[in-house]
Amino acid sequence: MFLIIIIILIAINIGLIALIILNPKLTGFLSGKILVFISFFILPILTIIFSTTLQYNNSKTTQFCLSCHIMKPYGKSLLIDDERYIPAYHFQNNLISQDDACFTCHTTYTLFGDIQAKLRGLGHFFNYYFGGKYENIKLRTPFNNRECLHCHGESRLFLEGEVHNPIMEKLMNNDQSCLHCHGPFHSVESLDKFQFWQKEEVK
Amino acid sequence: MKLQSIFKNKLKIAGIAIIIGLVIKIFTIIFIQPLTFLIDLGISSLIIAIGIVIYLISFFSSQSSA
Repeated sequence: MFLIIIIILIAINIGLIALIILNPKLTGFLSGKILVFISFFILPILTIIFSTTLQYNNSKTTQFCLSCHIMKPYGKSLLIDDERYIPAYHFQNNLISQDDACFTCHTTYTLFGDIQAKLRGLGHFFNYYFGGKYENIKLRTPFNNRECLHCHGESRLFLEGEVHNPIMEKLMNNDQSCLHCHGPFHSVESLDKFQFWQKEEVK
Repeated sequence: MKLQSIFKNKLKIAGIAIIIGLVIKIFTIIFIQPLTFLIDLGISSLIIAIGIVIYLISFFSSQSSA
């Protein structure tokens, strides 16, 4: 819907500008000058704001991440038919939004975390096209517990868990990683060994 | 009279720049990919912004001369 609104806005903007270029006499009148101001300043700025918002929201989607060839195996790993695999379990049971699956776990839950995540993504993009080969994708920094605790931190299952309580402070301070006990994860190097969930569309 | 002509020429250049930027934008917002994301923000929006700046320069220069 938002996309359609932007396209209509662009079409109107192009039409108005073409009208003014083809009829320059319009600029001689006050109403013409107002029309010029709207079509050369207001509408283009609105278009930039709306399209940037749209692109920013699109860039959080699973579809966006998996459009890079190099990320396809990671997308496939979300369909591993084994509930011990953390990303697959979260994805298939809708514990994270399936539409924003990658971003939900791989953003940084801080004040400017989303922006930082996008800047890191920009770095990946340039590295992919201009930086040489991508053979072994690794996280730049160890996975921070903060990203898990953003959802699990307030859950009863976590707070009252007998295993979690003795090490709660360590978990909160990121001194002991959640991944120390929980896993495995994407396992993209051995995908051919797995069976995969075949999602049935609702009829 | 000459001033008016310069204003109209600059307006034409600004208009063409904005139209080019908007046309590129239509193609980039349809696809959800990193490449189109960058073309949209880095090229299309930049061309539109250049068009807006040309318009503003021509507008203020014509106002100050008048």
